[in-house]
Amino acid sequence: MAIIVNLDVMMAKRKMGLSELAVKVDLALANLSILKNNKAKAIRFSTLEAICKALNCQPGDILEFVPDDKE
Amino acid sequence: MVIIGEKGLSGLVKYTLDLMMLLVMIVLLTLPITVKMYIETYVSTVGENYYWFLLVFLWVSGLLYMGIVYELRKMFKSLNQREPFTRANVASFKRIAVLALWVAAIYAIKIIFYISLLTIVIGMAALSVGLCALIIGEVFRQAVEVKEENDLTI
Repeated sequence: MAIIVNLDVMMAKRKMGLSELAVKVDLALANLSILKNNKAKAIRFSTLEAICKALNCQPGDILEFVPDDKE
Repeated sequence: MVIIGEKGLSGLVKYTLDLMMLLVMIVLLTLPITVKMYIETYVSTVGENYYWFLLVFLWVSGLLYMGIVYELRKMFKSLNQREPFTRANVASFKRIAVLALWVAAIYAIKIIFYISLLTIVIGMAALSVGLCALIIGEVFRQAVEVKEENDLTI
């Protein structure tokens, strides 16, 4: 996947656990793990907004674009 | 009235299907006797061949019908658990389509040899059920894809 979710890095910087973030963002823990483990296919703007607000960061801090070098 | 759920309409239909499965089994087991009675009572001019033809014809179509009811029961079970959009149900729809089209084919054979109005009606019904199941199965497949996409959108 070309877009990588760096949620765990940002969470470590803010010293916040997954369950604590789940409560702040008002998301099910299972869904948040899907996002953290790069299994998600898409993210809603509202979710992104809530995560950025909870972690006090920008979307670019969480999402990263890595070109596929397979070709 | 609750439509979907164990205590709703779909739960009721599931029990009806259970009952139907049982009835079909009883009918299939008693078929040699009932066909004989039917022929002795209503048909007088046709020979021994007709008995065997009718017996095999009804047996095979009954078995196919039982397969359809079995698949329907499986689908209603998943519906009662509120998880209808699964790959298993897509496969069930495809099997129902194949079974119903086989029923239609068998009725077509009967129409060629022993034509009757009721045979034509049931044959046409089986044909439309088969085609509809084929199409609804494809619709379900697309629905499953949309649901997977939706489940993985956080």
